Amino acid sequence: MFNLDQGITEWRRQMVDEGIKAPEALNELETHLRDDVDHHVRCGLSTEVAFERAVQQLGNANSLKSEFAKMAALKRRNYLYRGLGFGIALCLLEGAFCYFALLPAALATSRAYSHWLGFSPVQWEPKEYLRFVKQFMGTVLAFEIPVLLLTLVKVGVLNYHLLSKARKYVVVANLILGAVLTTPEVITQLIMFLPLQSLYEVSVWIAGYWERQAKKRTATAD
Amino acid sequence: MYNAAMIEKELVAASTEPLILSLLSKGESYGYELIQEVKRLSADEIKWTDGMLYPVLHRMEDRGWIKSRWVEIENGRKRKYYSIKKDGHQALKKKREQWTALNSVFSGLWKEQYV
Repeated sequence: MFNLDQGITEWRRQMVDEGIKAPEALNELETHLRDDVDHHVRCGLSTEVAFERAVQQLGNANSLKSEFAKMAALKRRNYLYRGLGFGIALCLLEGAFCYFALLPAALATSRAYSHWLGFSPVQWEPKEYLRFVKQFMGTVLAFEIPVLLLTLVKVGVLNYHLLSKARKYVVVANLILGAVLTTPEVITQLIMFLPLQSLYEVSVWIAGYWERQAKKRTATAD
Repeated sequence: MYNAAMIEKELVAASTEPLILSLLSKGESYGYELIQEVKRLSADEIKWTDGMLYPVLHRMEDRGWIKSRWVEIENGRKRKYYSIKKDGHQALKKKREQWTALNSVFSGLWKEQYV
């Protein structure tokens, strides 16, 4: 005798084999299938025939997969656009931070060091000063790393686990960036390092939050 | 009873979002119920492949037009209910204007031809 639950388990397996793997989407399709089977049974069909009709009406796994794939591609594209928009906004903010906060601090520290060591303050040549400012403003790009990381999390290349695992390497990388991109002393290195590392930690936290939310959604759908 | 030719699939595809938004503007609903309602209202002229509705619903949710929640119905079974959001109402208003404009163009044209 036909067993509906077995039939549905087999149907789900076929769907997974064809590439529809998201549990939430599968649960929703299964609910639809059961609703349609109930409807056909109420109309007088046997459960087996009702199930066959419902599966046929729902559509074959291949065409469903292509529709879900289109949806996933659209989602990825949206995330990339959002990442780009957020990246540009953040770039402007960071530019302002570097120019109005970090650069004066670096110049003041440089003057203080010169004074402390008994040298006369550095006399900047316009060309040299512009080169220094350009290098300094290049740090803006370093602040874009979290945006890049979160966009990669959203499109499925990175996840919370990988980001947490990479923390120790990122601390070293951020310290190196702090040393290379600023004046060669510890204070500006730390001024650079702290926001970079904080942004990384925020990225890891956001990735973790997204993962928890996704798990919660899947658990609610089960 | 008047029996119009089956509506072409391109037109069905174009009308899917406004249909869903219009139905959800009346109240919360779920995929199967939406399909049955469209079948009933169109006297079976609009035929959706049932499974294709869900990627559309997910896309609309992603755009922020609709939201969803899982509700336990019976025997531990759960069903995903959709409802319209503020942005969805705005999108519906825009789509309604577009379809009304098209409708009035065709009505005017065909009225002239048949009088």
